[in-house]
Amino acid sequence: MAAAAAEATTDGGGKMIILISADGKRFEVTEAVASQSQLISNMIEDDCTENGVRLPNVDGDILTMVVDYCNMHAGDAAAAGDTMKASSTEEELKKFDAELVQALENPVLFKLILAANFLNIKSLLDMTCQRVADMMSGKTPEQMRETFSIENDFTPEEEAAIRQENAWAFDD
Amino acid sequence: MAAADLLPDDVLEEILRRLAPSPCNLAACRVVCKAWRAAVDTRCPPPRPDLLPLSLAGIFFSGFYFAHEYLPGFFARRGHHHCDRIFPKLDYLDDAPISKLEAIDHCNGLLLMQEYIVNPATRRWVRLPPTPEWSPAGSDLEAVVTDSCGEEYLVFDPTVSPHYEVFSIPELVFCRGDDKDNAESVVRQHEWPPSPFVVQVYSSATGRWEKRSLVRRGEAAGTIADVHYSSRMASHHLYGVYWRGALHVQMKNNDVIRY
Repeated sequence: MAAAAAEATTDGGGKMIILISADGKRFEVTEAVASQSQLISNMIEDDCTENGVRLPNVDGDILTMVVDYCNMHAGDAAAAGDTMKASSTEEELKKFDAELVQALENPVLFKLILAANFLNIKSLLDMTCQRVADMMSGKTPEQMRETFSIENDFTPEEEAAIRQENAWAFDD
Repeated sequence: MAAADLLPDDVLEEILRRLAPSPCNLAACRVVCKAWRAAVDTRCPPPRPDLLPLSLAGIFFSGFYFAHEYLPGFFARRGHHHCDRIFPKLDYLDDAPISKLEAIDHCNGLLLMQEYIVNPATRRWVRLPPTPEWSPAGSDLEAVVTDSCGEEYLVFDPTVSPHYEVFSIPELVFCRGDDKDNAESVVRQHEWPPSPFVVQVYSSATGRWEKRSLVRRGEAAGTIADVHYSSRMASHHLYGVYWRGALHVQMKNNDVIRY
């Protein structure tokens, strides 16, 4: 069935591609949607997507988000010819993007970044990195460690020395 | 969780790059863990994040000339703890005629008060040895430019070096052999600033004034005639500013030269 789907075509004439997550979930998307991933786009060019694309380091729930994101943003390009539609789509996209990253808890956000990095989806990587940068902005080192569950591997002396190097940053 | 497991370096770099406009954020990242410190130090594009304190602790004010005395002052945010340590009165300068001292220049927290270099935050100060007389040795200007006084400019960037330098940059005052009626005279047609331009530089690393030859990049600002006679700003200190590793100095004809 999956193999048959992989050969199927949509009304628009685009070929369908099957993405398979680490935990075996299957996602059927058009070539246009999947091509937003540079990794998959290269695979399509090399003609090696026929049996589905296995993504052993992306979980099903993360891949769900990635596919949703790509579906939304593929419409972007398709609607570009229709100005009226394009402008409303742009607004919808912004709303969709904002809701996507705002809602995420840290471990999931980081998994999404790793997936975007692995699949090489630049716009998704940009957006998620910006979200993390926003979360870091204005935080003290202690707050950053807590937010991202990072272990402090400095000795107290080392930490004091580094703080001294940038003493001006810890004034207020 | 160890930070290295969290995100690969290239992703961390993407994130840090977005924080780079705020050195405070990068400084905080350096303290989080070893991996992040290494990422900030090696992967953030120059200028280095531990650069200047971009927050302003206060403004030191010294040019208030009243009853033949310079009255210094210091303005700071209320409650900022630096304020307690900074006194506008420079009475810790031992035998200096403090009421006569005028601030010539300042750079990243250091003051150049005539021949004194003062750090108001630490109250450390030194007295510079006298500036050697300027002569355009080594250039054909030696014969014609006889009297010029050096304007002094302070260069200090603690992120580059703990040492400061004072540049004494000659300003044209009078040229021998110049004939004001003769616009074609050799002197007046000489380009200014010359290249190489020999200036006196005091370095706190050596404690001495030394000649340094500066090679001009780009075109000359003009000829001696252009620069010398273009405006009557001769009696004013010409402004200079040290920014991103280069000293920019205003010239009499309002051009700016960069070293």
